[in-house]
Amino acid sequence: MTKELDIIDKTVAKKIPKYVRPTEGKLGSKQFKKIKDKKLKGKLERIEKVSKEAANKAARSELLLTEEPGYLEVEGIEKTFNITQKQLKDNVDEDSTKKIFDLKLTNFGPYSLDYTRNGRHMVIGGQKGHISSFDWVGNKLNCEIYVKETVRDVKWLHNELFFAVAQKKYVFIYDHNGLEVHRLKKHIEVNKLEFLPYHFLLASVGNSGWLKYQDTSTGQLVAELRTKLGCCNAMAQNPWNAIMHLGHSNGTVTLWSPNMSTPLVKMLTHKGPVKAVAVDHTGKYMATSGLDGQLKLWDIRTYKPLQQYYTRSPASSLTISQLGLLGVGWGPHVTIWKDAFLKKQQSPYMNHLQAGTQVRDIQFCPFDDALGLGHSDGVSSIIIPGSGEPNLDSLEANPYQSKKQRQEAEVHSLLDKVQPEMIVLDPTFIGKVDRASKDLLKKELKEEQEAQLAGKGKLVPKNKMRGKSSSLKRYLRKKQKNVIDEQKLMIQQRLEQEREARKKRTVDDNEDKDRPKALERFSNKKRKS
Amino acid sequence: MDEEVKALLEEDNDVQEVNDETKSDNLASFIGSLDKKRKRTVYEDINSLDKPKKQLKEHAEVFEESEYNLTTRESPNVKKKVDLQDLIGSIQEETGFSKLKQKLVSLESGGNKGTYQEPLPAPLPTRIQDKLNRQAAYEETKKDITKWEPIVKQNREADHLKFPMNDQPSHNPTNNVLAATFQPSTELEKKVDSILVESGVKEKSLQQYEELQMSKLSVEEVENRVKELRKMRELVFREEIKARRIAKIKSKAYRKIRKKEKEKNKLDLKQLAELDPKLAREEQLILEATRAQERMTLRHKNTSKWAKQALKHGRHDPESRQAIVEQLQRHEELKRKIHDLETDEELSDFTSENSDDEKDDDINAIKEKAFDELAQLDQKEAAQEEEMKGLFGMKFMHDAMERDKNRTRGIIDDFVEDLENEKFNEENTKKDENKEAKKSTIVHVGNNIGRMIFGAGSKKSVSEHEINIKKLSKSTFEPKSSLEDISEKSKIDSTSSIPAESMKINYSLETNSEEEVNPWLQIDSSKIISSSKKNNKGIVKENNKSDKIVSKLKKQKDKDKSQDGIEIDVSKVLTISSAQITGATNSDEKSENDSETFDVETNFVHVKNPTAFSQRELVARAFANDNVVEEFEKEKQAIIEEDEPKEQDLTLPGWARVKKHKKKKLILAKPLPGGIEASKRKDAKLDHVIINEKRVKKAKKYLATNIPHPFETREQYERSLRTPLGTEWNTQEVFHKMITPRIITKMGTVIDPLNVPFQTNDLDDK
Repeated sequence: MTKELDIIDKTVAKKIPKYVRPTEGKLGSKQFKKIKDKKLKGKLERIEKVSKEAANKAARSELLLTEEPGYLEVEGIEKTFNITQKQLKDNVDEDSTKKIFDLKLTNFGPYSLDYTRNGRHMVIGGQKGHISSFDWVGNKLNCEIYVKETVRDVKWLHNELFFAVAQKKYVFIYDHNGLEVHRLKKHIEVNKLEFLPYHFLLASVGNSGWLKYQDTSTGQLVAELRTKLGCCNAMAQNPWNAIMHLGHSNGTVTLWSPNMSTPLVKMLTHKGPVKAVAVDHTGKYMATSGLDGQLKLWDIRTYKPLQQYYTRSPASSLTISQLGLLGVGWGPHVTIWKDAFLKKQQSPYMNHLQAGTQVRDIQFCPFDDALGLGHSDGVSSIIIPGSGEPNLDSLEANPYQSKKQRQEAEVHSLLDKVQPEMIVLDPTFIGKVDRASKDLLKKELKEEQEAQLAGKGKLVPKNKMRGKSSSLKRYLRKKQKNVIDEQKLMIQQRLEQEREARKKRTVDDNEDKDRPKALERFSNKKRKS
Repeated sequence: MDEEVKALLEEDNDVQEVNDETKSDNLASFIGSLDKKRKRTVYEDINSLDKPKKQLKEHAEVFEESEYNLTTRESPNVKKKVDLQDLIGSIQEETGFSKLKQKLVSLESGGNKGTYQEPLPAPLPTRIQDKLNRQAAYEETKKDITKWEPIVKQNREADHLKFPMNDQPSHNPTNNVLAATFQPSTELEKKVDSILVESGVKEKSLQQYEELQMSKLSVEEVENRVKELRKMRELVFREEIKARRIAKIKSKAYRKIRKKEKEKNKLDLKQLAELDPKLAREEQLILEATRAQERMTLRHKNTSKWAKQALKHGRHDPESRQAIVEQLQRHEELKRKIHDLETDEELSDFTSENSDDEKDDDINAIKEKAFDELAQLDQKEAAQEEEMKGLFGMKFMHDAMERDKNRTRGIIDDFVEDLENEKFNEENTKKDENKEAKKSTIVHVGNNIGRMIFGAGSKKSVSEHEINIKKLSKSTFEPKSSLEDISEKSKIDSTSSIPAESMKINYSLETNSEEEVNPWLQIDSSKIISSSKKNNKGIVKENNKSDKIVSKLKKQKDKDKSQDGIEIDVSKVLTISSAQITGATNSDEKSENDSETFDVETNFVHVKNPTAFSQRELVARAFANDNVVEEFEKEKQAIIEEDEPKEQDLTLPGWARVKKHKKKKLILAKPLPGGIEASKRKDAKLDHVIINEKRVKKAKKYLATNIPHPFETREQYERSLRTPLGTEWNTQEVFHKMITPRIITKMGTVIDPLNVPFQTNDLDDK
């Protein structure tokens, strides 16, 4: 019994480092010795104890994650990449076979697609104007519309009730019935859309190279940033810090936040135009593909390249699954790479050929072992074992959400909305000490105060001295005194008239005294006399 | 005395700054006067000593002389003050008045006999007195307060404090407590209670009854009873201890002696028969039964746990070896007993008392049982043979056992034969009708006409046969297990293993086609094509090869089929594999660059291999004109320069240019806040990256400008922030622990002061 417990303890101990929050600087016994304030020492010790316990308990609670991800495994000389979807279909269970399907929509292709955050719903947009959203698990169609103009990208908003579509000129927001809810006139000729679910920000970038952030909860246009790098066709969000990664035609990838007019980071990734960008959900790795035929994998903590591969034809679409599988769409092929970020892979994990088509967009379905690909002949779904996270947090994203739960989740997410000002490279910065130099802080404070003072001067209501400077008087004042012309005479006359009229008015008021007043009859006349 | 007061006062003055000037003045004058007085007296004394006596002036008395008006004034030579001595001096001289004299003495010495005490000093000023009191009180209370220190410390260090602190948890009374304090309250309860009382089943009444009974006995009787009980208890206890001690003895010799002793002590059966024939018979029966049981349960064989252990470990131990030998002897003995059942005199004597029929039945039953047992034994042996492992599994052991077994088998056979003969004879004499029927059950043993087995023995022979077969299989067919495995597997897999089989075939195919180019190696496109062509040829060839293999496999399978009668649907396998193969060939025929070459083409090629780069070179050439890298470098340089710290130019036009000023060191520039040097930039070592070093002004409001109070360094503070508090990032338990307030009060309860955790004698006294 104790042995078992020991084993459990050991396994838990292995997991603990994963849950210990990183900090700068050490606080060991040496540092503790230096602290003279006993109260502070006690406090710090308590904090350490609590954080240690929290990590320990979190590691222990991993026991509750009952599901384990599984991958394709083959025996002997067989290779996983030789296994086709047909073979898989023959061998997987009945329920999983439904995940392999082909929607033949040859008239409106190529298609772009998007899954909701819980992986339940799918929206597809054909370039020639076909938009459709459906519950792909339950095989229920939500809406299907034909907009009769170019559709460049589709994106779900915070839940399956709304989706945004980048059309020929503007971006439109449709509801689940396909009703046009908004037309975002400021987003012009958009190529790519991204939605930040915690900030309720819809980001768009297009031909003009403007990155625009629109708050979908308040409707405000939060930021309009000019990239100055021309047409942009590749965009990805970093789910860890909500930074936008844009791939440009000069081979650079720029990292943007709505709080800065210039890119936070600019990386030279390729020698040709960047075709696609993808960021993994831990925010550690990025994959880029360029027209120069390279597929590069980056560590975005250090901005250093990890691996580079050469593609026979440039990859048109990249995506990274929840468990870190890298999907690459190129030509009619989709190739899945496992553990690609950890070490150089000699062979892919899986292969798929959508014969006779061009793959436009690929997306892994969250919480499911499926991959959706939009191509010139429609939309297909294939099974990629081990791509989706098997243990789901129903408070975060629940594929089995009921209507009531969805409503509640919506309210909660709105209450917990993160402000756009919090988008920086390191999202743990909140509450930390400002590390700018004292001179700089002083200067900023001074500037602030000055600005405030200036602002206050404006706010004080001016004594406007009504009547003193009418336009006529002003004219007379500004004109040279000794020059008397016709206009001046006329104005003088007008002024005189006005004065007369004013005088008369006051006189009239005085005359009014004799007029009987309504309540006068009740007053004592004798006393008055 | 004066000095003390003075010192105190001075101290007082020192300590307390009395602002009141007049007061201090008064004090000073008072002290001065005190000094003066003293000085004067001393001075006068000296004067009186040194100077010649002066003529005393005549004092004019102002007052009238009378006995009530005596002057108290003193002068150096005249002591005017009336003393007690003056008054009672005369009495001393006279006799008598002894009592009065005593009283006077005591009065003179101030109450106490013989010792003189000074009169009480004047009390200290109240202010000083109070101060002293306060000091003393402070010391006292300090002592008391220090007693609280540990508990205060504990409470200070506690994570949470819950008030009311000394709240005692409400405890649930146990059943016993409830029963003891139970009072019937409702009607029903009262009724039940009354019934219980009436019938006298109440525990209390029972107890009382017992007590009454005891009270009826005389004192002596009770005493005797108690004594007896005590004695009994004592004896039992002793016996118990003794038994425990004996049970602990491990010596085998001792055990043997003890056993013998026991047997010796036992009455012999004969003796018993003389004394009590009935008991003797019963004993006899019991003995018989146990013996039979023993025989049946093979106690005498080497199958018991002990025997196994002894055989395993005790072969080198002479004692245990002897024990084994003994056991074997016993075994022999028992067998002999069965064998000579008829001739056994004792038994026959004993059984002669019973009727003949009964005797016959008994014997028959025993015989049959014995046969059954033998059969079982054989089976068991057969089973054991397979199970043997370790030392017994070794060859020499096997051989030895085999020899042993043969010998015993011989014995058994003899025994069986004898028994059968006996039976046969009996049956011959009794019933001849069954003879023919019995003959059919006769079985020849091992092709030996001379040896026959009858009846139940035939079964056994069958089993023996089986064993023989098994042995044969073991000895001759080494691959017996494999054969069996095959048969078993084929049975199981006949339906489900088709894909597996096909996989196997595939596997073999693949092994053959290993010369095929690994698709993950880099090859020039031209090469690829050529290789693919080659491959195609190879595949065709391999197809032939594979056909051969398949046919071979088929043959083999057929053979297996004929051998074991296994049903395998080879045709299915064949169809699948052939279909695959045909598909492959078809596609080959269709297009050379398709399917097979597809793998090669479809996958990415590694950068590092230098052979395959014609395409890459092409691409590189395609982008050669876009001097992207230079542009990027230029941009980075511009940004670095822009971000470098700037200086404010303090020169005034015309001023610093003047020659005489040049000699002095003038501050012409002041560094402006902000900016970053090129070497300190985050991207200093990353050529391909530009990291923006500008401050994010909008995020400034989420930063702390200073380190908050209790923390001394930034690290400490930021460390305190690092563990998030929310439920999203913590387990429920930790979350609740983190957010519990330090002080919890229960609403509506009075919060009493702390209980005194130590003895409070001093406080109570006060």
